Amino acid sequence: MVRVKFRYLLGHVRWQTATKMNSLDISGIYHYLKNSVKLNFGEYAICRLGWTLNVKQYNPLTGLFIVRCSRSQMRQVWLSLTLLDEINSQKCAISIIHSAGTIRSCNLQAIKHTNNSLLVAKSLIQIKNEKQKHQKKKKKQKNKKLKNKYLTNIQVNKNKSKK
Amino acid sequence: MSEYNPTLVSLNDFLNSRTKELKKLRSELNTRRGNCQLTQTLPKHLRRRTMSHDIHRVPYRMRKHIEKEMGKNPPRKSKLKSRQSRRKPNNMLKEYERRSKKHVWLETHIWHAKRMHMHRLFGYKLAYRTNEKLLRGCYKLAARSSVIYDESYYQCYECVAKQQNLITFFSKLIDNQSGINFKTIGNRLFLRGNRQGSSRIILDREKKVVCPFRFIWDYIPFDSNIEEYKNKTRKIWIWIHPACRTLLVDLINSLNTKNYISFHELENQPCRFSIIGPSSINVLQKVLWFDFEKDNEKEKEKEKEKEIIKDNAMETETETETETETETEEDSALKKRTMVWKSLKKINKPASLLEGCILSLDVINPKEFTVKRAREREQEFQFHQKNLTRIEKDKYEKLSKKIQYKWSSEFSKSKLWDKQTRKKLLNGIERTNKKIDEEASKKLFPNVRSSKAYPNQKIPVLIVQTAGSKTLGFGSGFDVIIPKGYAKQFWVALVHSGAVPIGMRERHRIETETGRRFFPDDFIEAPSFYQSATKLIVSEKESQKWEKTHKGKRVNYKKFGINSPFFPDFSSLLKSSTNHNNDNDKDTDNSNNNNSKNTNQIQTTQYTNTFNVEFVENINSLKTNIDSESFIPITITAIQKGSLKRNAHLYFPTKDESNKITKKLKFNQKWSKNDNHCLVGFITTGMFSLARGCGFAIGFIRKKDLIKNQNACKNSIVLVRNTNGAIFYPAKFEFCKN
Repeated sequence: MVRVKFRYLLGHVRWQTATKMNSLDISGIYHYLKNSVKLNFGEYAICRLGWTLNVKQYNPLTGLFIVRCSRSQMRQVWLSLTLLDEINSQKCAISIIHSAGTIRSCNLQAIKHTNNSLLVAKSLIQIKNEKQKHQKKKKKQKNKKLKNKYLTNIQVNKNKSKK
Repeated sequence: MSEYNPTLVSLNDFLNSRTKELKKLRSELNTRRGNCQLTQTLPKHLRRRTMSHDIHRVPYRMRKHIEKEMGKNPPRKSKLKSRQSRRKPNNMLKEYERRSKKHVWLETHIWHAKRMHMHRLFGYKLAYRTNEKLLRGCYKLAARSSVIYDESYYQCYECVAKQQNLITFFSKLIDNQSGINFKTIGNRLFLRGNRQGSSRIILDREKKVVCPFRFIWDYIPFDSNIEEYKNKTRKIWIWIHPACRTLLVDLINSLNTKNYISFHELENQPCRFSIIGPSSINVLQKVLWFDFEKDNEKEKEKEKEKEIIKDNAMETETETETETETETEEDSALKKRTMVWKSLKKINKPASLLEGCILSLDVINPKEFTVKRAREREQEFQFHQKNLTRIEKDKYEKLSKKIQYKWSSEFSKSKLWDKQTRKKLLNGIERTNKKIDEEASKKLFPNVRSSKAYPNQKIPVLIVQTAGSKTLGFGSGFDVIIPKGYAKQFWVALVHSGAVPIGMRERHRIETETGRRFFPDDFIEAPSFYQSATKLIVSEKESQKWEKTHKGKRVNYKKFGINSPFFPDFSSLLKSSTNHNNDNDKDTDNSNNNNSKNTNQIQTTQYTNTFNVEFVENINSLKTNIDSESFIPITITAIQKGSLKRNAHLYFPTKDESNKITKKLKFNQKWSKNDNHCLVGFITTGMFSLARGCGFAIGFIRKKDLIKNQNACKNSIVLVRNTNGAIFYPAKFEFCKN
């Protein structure tokens, strides 16, 4: 018996406005996905997909999701995802990061993706901190100079009085 | 797309959400779960097949986790030992004993199980048929060579009491209608213990249950007077079929309240083999070997002396007198047995001996020598005749005449009647088998037969003659009764010497060829009719096969007017009214009222009834009492072509039809719905008889119909209709005598 083979697509949703879309669910994404497939490829494509189309995971905070489809219909699903404009009357953009035969490899790629994003954030924070440090240093140096000047002026006046 | 990049990001939310996601993803990666068990998370080189039920095969670090999983569905705790220990010979014997408690195994079970199809019948596991095709071939073997069948499932019971008490007790129980040659237990033929008798017991008068049985009396010397033994204690051995065993025991215990008789099952029951065919004599002579060569030498010397001293007659008389005094009882018994044994060679068939005559021999264990194959009777007969001298020929003729007309009881005296000898024999089996094997391993040429090289232990054996059909001379043979424990050795020796082993199906076939009824398949008067092999095995298979086949491709029994096509339904004959015309349609309507929806369903009643059976000599001797319902057994032979099959319907012909048949005109009659023939009876066993060359069957006719249609019965013609068709076959019938 020949096995039914799937493909898992790792995707990332970005919203135009920074709103909290906690109301969006897996079933909601599935609904909109199906409509986009129907729009772009017709009912024949939906019939061919059938039960193989499924949204496996979705994180509303980060925007990462994993979609399953049959191996033969992967390209059509990919395309329909990228052409998805609107979800829940909110404009969005979907980009697909990775496609694989198992969920496990998709999760691996998701880890890499988050690590990268964290690294970026980390580097930004480091830069910010360094700036702040640098500014502080400068301030300190200024203050020192002023102090030294003040101290030197006081000594000069003392020496003059003694004479 | 760059529009969708966020301009402002709250660091806290950003970092928290991502760290949580990372944790979750990493935890998922570490655990390889999904829909798999813990054991499947291991790498492939650490997985073991028995991990599912044996914890010790799991790596130590995972045992606790797996125990929790197992706690939900714990594995079956098998108390079985390892396969190696289970298959050791000691264990195998114990398992056999355990299995044989449900359905008792005969001693030769293992031998049979390898070569035959075994079935559960009457509480035993019996061989029903051989793996080879022997249904038609068994006739040839039984007619020319020999055939052997294991009958040790027949139970043996012992009755001990005074002679007169025994006779009076059993005279009440025995059926007066046990055939034309009616003989009671107290008949003079059987009282001395030299012949076996057979009769029928009434087990239940109300339900009319009757069962056949065989009996042997204890030994009495031939010189003595029978009347002296009236008040002396004597023994009877009774052999009865296991299906009727419980009824017999209950009956006798109910009647024997004052301990009139001591009735009990024989301890250490002997086994019984039946050998059928003319060369059964050869087979027995090859296997049953006792030291008679010493006597042979002595006899030869004596003969020479006699020939020389014949002229001096006075001297011979004195010498013979002195010789008889010095002889002991054992020597005289040995002499007689050798005489009988040798004279058997002159006899062509066992049927020429008296019916039921008994011979007892003390025989050497056949395991001690290799048995050679016996030739067929004709070859042996001719070979034997060539090598005889004239004196010996005359001698054997005299001896054979003696035996055929007179069988003294001294031939049947044996040690098997002793309880202690049977015990000793049983206890001494293991020792003897071991000894034999040890001695055989030491010899250069083991298992060579010579009279000097054998130990003194001898096994008492009884040989009983069984009669075949009296007209054809077919089916006669010997029954060999062997003490318990030695069955396998004798069986193997008999098979090696040329007797072909058969199952119950072939035995049934041979019995019908002789013209006799086979218990329990042909006996309506016993409830074992419904426990027989034809009911449990043959008819069930046929019915299952019929139900599986497509409607368009199987026989439409309803169309032919047959209600019970797989097993004869005698109770339907009793229910039918006096109007026999169109009775079949009425019966079908009445029966199918309950199953009106399923028109193709056939009536299946629960059969438990027994029926009354009467024997008749002639049509003229029929009694005109129509009150009692009874059936008469008949044998049917086809006139024209056609094989008569089991469960066929029997009809009486009209006048015109019977005239046609007697004049040997063409007879082509077919059954139709408006048929006027009256259903009269059924056939219980039917086949094409190879002995007669035509169809042959055994069946039953209703007595009332016989009395009504006496005119039609003058020519003793009957019409037979098989279940698979509508053609009537003309046939002649005769009344059964047994």
